Amino acid sequence: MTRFAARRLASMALVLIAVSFLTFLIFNVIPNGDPAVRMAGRAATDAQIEAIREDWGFDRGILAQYGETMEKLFTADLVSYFTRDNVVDEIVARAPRTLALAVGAAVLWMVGGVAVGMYGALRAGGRADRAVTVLALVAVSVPVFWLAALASHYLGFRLGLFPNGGYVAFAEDPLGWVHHLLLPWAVLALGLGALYSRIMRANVLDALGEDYVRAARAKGITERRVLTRHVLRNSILPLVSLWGLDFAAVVGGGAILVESVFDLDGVGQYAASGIDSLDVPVVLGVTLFAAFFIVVLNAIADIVQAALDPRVAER
Amino acid sequence: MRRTARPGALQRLLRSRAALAAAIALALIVAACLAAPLWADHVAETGPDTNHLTDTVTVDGEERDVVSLDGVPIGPTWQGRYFLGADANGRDVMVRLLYGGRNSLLIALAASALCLVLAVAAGLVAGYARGFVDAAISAALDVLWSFPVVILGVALGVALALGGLQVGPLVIDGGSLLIPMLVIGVVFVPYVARPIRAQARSLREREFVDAARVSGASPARIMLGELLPNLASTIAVFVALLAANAILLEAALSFLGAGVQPPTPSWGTMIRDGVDLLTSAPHLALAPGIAIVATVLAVNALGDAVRDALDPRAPVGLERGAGSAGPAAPAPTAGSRTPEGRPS
Repeated sequence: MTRFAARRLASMALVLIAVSFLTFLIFNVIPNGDPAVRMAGRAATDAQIEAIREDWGFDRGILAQYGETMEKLFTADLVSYFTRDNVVDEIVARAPRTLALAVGAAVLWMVGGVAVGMYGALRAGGRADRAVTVLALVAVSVPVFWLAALASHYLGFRLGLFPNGGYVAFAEDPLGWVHHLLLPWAVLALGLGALYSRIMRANVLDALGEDYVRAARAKGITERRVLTRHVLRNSILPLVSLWGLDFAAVVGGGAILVESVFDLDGVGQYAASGIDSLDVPVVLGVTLFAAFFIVVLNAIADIVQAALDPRVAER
Repeated sequence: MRRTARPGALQRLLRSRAALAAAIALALIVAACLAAPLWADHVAETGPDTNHLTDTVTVDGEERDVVSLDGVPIGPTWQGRYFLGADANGRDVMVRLLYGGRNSLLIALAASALCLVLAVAAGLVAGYARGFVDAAISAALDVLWSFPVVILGVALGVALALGGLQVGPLVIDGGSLLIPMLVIGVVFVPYVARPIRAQARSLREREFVDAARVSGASPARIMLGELLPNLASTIAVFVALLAANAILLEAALSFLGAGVQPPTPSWGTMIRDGVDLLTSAPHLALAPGIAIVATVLAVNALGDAVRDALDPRAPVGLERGAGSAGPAAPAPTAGSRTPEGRPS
């Protein structure tokens, strides 16, 4: 078990290195992507471009450039090609916004998914169950950024129920913080909540047919206790390992699409702006930030699974 | 003891009313998109990229500007010309929606096919070969899997759209639809390859594989002749999941400017153009969004029916979605995923 965990952690580090190198490579093999030309602006002379190239080290080999960039990243010296802002500082300053968005949404889709899934399973085949199934199917079919734009426009701008974008720090105004994040949370949580409700429903139906439930009922335990103690617990377990992965996916995916629409100015919006201007240091920083969550939460999920089921570690 | 599609799966599928409704809806959408030139030439009488900034159109006997003097495009007229209104350049939204649908669906289809081929090949080889080959392929899949889907897609999309792609004598122009196809096809590979690998790994221990090996079948023959047929139902379940998430990811990439490049229409680029004008011309964002929801819903419903018919107890597919993309992912998603996989 300890060996498995150690191996898992070592491979985690290797994967992160590979991800960073690939990101760097993607932006450095672009035929028309010479950053020096773009940084110099339109009316630049060849000498100016050459000077920039030398200044930033673009004339060196790709491995040397990569090494230097990573060194700067870890010593927090990495600056954007265009705004000259410190990338690490920018990400650290924005991280609380993205994490607030992702954590709130994660709680919402987990609680919502479990509740709806349980409800559907207990009324399996009924009208309510079928309605919920159809709604869940619709929810996973909606593009999240489109829903975000419509929600922000109609519920925020038109009806004025929510602020028209923006973010307020929790420390400054806890109620305002919730008010600003409520809509983004709901939009992000909808699709995943629907998915979780379907997984939960299937899990509950499976659990209800298990011997331990029959045994518990035979012992004369109240139905309520059977559901909470036995069925609920065993049905949620598989969702928990998914939860970590989806949380990471939202940090590196959904957040990019949703933050810009709601003008939350988190890491996701920063990523979108960096990608727009082909700002390699920004994209590299954000990619590693998101990949870190994915890799770490993946490893934790694996290790937890191995702890619960030793056969996993032997595979 | 082969585990191919269970007998009766097709009958079960054909009996499902939801599957039938979804199939009909999907067929109608595809047929409408294929008929785009007919609508453009004979009904709307304009092309998808033709501007009509200074034209007028007669609605209910009243002459109206296609784009008003202060730049507000006309809304749906519910008649042949400008059936769904015009956009800020005076282009016919219905015509663009149909042509855009062609592009969105073509990209999703090609990307799904590419992804399936790559993922099945990688999963089969890794699962069958084990040892070093398996380790190498699995490591590559792990790296790809650890990339945030949207960031990887957008980074690749932007980079390629800017410079195009040159592989030997083959040159792909930056604005080509091949680029979003490639990007989307590659991004989803690990979501499909990992479960295929796991299944191939356990299948290879079965007696019928031993029997084939003993009778002298080559590894290629065993993989294609013995393992692949047994993976058919898994692959069938992934087809719809992939297609649905590919449509969502195309839209997301185009929305971020990293997918289909203007002026080529796609549902994603149309939403991108439309969200800024929600106040004055909501039809611009609503029409393509509703088209996406309807199409993805039909694909998902069909996929669900296929899955239920093959194996009523199968777990939900793509683990991390695009969510929401994706399925989120979409998760692959769903499940990622997310599907929904939910690749969002």
